[in-house]
Amino acid sequence: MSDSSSGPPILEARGITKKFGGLIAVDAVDLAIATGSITSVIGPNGAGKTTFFNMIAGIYKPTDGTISFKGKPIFGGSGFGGTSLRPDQVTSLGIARTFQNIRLFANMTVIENVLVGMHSRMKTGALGAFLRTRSVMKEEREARETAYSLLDYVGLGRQAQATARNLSYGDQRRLEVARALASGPSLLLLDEPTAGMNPRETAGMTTFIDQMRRELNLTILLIEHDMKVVMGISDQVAVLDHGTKIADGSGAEVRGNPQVIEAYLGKGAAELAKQFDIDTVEAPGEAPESIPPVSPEPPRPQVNP
Amino acid sequence: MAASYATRAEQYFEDRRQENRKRLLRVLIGSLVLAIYPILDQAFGWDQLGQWIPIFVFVILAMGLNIVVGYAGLLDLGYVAFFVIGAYGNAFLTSPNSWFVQQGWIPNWLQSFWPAMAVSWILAAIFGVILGAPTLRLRGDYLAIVTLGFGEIVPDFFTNAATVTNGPQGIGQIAKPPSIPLPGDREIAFNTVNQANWFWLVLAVGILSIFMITRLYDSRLGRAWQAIREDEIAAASMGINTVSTKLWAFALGASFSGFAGSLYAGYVRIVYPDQFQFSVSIIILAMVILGGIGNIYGVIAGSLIIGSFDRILATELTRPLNWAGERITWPPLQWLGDWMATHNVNSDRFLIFGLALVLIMLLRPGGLFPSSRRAAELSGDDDVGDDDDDTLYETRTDDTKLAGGSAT
Amino acid sequence: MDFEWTLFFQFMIIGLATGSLIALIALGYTLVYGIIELINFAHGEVFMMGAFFASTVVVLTGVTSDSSTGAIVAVLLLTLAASMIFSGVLNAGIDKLAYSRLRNAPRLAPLIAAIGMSFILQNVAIYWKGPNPFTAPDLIPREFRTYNVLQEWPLLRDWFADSTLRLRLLDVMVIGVTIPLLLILSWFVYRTQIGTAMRATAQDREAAALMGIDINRTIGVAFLIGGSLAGAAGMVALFYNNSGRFQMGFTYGLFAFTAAVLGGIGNLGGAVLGGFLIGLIWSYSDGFMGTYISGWGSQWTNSVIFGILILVLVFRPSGLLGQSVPDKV
Repeated sequence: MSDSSSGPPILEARGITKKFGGLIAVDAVDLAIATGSITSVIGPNGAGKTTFFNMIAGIYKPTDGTISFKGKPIFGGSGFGGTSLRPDQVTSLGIARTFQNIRLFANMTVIENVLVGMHSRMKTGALGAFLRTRSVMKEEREARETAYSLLDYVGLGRQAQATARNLSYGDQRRLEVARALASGPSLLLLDEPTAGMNPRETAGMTTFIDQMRRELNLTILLIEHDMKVVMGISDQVAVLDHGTKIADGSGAEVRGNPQVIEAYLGKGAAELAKQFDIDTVEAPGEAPESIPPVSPEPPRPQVNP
Repeated sequence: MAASYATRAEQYFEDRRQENRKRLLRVLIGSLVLAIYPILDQAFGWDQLGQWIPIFVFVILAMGLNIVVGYAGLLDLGYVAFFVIGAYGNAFLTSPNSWFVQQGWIPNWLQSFWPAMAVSWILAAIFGVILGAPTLRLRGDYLAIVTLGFGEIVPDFFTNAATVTNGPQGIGQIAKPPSIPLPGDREIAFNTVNQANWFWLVLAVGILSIFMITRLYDSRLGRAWQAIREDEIAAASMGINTVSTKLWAFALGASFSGFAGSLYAGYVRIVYPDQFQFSVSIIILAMVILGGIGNIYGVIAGSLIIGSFDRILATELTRPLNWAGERITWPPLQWLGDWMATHNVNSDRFLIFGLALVLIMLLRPGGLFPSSRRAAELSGDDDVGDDDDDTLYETRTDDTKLAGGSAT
Repeated sequence: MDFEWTLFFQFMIIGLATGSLIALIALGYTLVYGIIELINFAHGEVFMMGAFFASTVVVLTGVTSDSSTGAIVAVLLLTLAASMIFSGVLNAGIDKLAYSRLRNAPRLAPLIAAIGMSFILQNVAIYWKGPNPFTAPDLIPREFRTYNVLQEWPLLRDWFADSTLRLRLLDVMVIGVTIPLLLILSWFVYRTQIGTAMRATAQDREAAALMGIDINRTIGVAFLIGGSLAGAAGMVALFYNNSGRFQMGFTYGLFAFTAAVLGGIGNLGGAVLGGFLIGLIWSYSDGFMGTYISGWGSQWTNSVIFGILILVLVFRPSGLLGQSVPDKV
């Protein structure tokens, strides 16, 4: 936890809506992220978290609403005069992201992955590639230096020449982070960075996220469905359920919110939790060990299929 | 600490320099071996130079197509369109029969080989962008069909717009490169009899192309192509403008065929639409795929194999086959003998190209000399996050288990 | 120049006949694409092989235009059945031999293999009947007959004062073969168990497999049916054009693919609609437009149809009857 969460919002989303045909995936969500904070968006599977994320990153166009970053619009209005930035333009503004289901360039080497991440910071075009002028070579050299330093930072320095597909799962996640950092972002979007990790790896990643925020002066927006991960490090937690925001506040505020407990554990869970004096909602799938065994059988956490 | 990164980066560049030197040496040795060929050809009277020059033109075409198909992963089935544009570009500018020249629109300085080649080069690149632009949002197989459509329409246009293009008869008297004067009243001329000079000229253009393409691949743009090929959405999220990057692939790929087309036009000195059928696109594609898609040296090897079969071996193999057929007199095999005695291997060309494509896809998707990277992609055993519908080389992992056997 | 209704109707009938041929071929593209998302590039060549086989069968039976009408009809029906079986088995065989091994390869691998197959089949066709066009025995009368149908109806008579309808038996035959085949196909797809399995597989292969559908067999059946329709089209085209050539599959194949895309690939009704539209465009562009626009005519038809193909793929890839599906990330 840190107190740096004051200051003007770096990212502001207002009334963001996304419809796929008749399905409303995200419904009028507002979110303001303070500069230098760690903000988490949580919610059960299928709550619209990743869709929300993809709209910030420019991959989906919102059906309605506005998004601005550092006061500049990413998406807003429609027709002429409206803005709708492409993913690469969003990245150039200073927003970088990782993917829930790792999307590395699997057949390229580790360092090449990071160099691709640096694309928007470099300038060489086709002519420069043919001529290899001094400035082109200088740029390439500096890019390599930065890439090596980033790899060291995430702990992959020794594997720079390995092919990305051959990395272990945890290392692939780290490489995704390094690749995202390569674009020099001020806002880092992490989509379930601990998905598929064991508890030890998860703890390591959580610490690392906090460390990045402090050392690299980043603002971080995190998506998780595992509440445990986010509670410790988040300054702000927003909860999505069925596309709408049902809670937004500090970790403690959100944790006690009956609507949140209901979203995670199903109807009636809030009552039950009070009855058994449970104040922490655990992640689905990992809940049973922390809920005391009682009879009648406690309600199993409901996970949307 | 920063110094150590600089050292490591330096180390990388040092390694690369050494590797480049080695590669350059190999290319030079290979070219020298090839460069001796015209002397041998004339000494032994093989008389194949006239075949090797078009083969080399096709090698350049295959290298250009490899930029689009191999590097950027866009299956272009209408590459012949740019070959047409390059060839006709030269013809329009330099032939006295050209409508444009007759209208007096072409300044005199432009009516010679080298300036025309430069213009054709740029013209083909521009058409690469024009014909590439509409296809960029399409999925891989649709893109292939749209490019095929362009590959049909462009030669069709040159056939039908007879006022300007002289229709099916085509345009003759295209300029050849001006002779290069040498001291002592000699010169390097490019007349029909100077086959050896032509051979060296085309070889030189080919080496220049190799040089340019390898540099291109090992650059920011080359990395962006690979990234798009592997995962378009991830590439876009890393700040790569996918539209302009793909357009660069089309433009640069097309520009090499503009080169090749205008060179070819200068060599044969006549262009007509029937030279540029759909099968030409497929032969070039077969060259790229046979040798090793994405690997420039593999592509060169593949084009030499297919090109030499197409132009030389098919004819050369016919004679021994016929000879052997005449020797078979054993009655039970008489039918075979008869067939062999009269068979012309030239009529098997389509069969061989078709077989090459099918067998390579079935047995060795990376080609004979694969780039390790591309082989892994094409064999489809990608296990890392690749589950969407809109990358071009998406592997259909979900379906794999199901298609393999019936479900229980 | 006055608008010539006679010519207009004459080319309309030719267009409908050609269109029904194209529709038969287009159905093969659409059936296969609907299930495994493969543009079966060799499909045009399967059609061509059907025409070649029909020609061989007819020559073997030895009928000529002098034979009795009953004999000619019997031979034609036999030839139709033979070409359908031949092309169907050929298509399913190619799938078994090549494409089925590439089911889990990237999308472009089977497409490239199919292009290779199309070249192989063209070369086989050259071995079979040589590189030059050959003619089929002239079994069906080709001359036009004039009917005054329009003048029988009072209202129409006022509008089309001198118009007459000129028909060939040939055009009627083409439509007469096509319509029953289309009816049988729709019965098969919508009423039989294997047809239902095909539709289920096209919708969601995974779910279909979980329901116990044998996916490989279903795909094989799709190739078989698509091939046999192409074989029927090949037989009809042979007699309709009275000639065949190893390259005939390329034009017909690509036009039929355009039809399938125009109608919405994967959609059977769309393929038929697209087939008739392309047939009409082909016929009017070839024969009719030249009368009114100078410099226009058959030489531009290819460009027009490929232009349609490009425009549809670029601006409405789902075709006229298809639905667009949102991208997934």
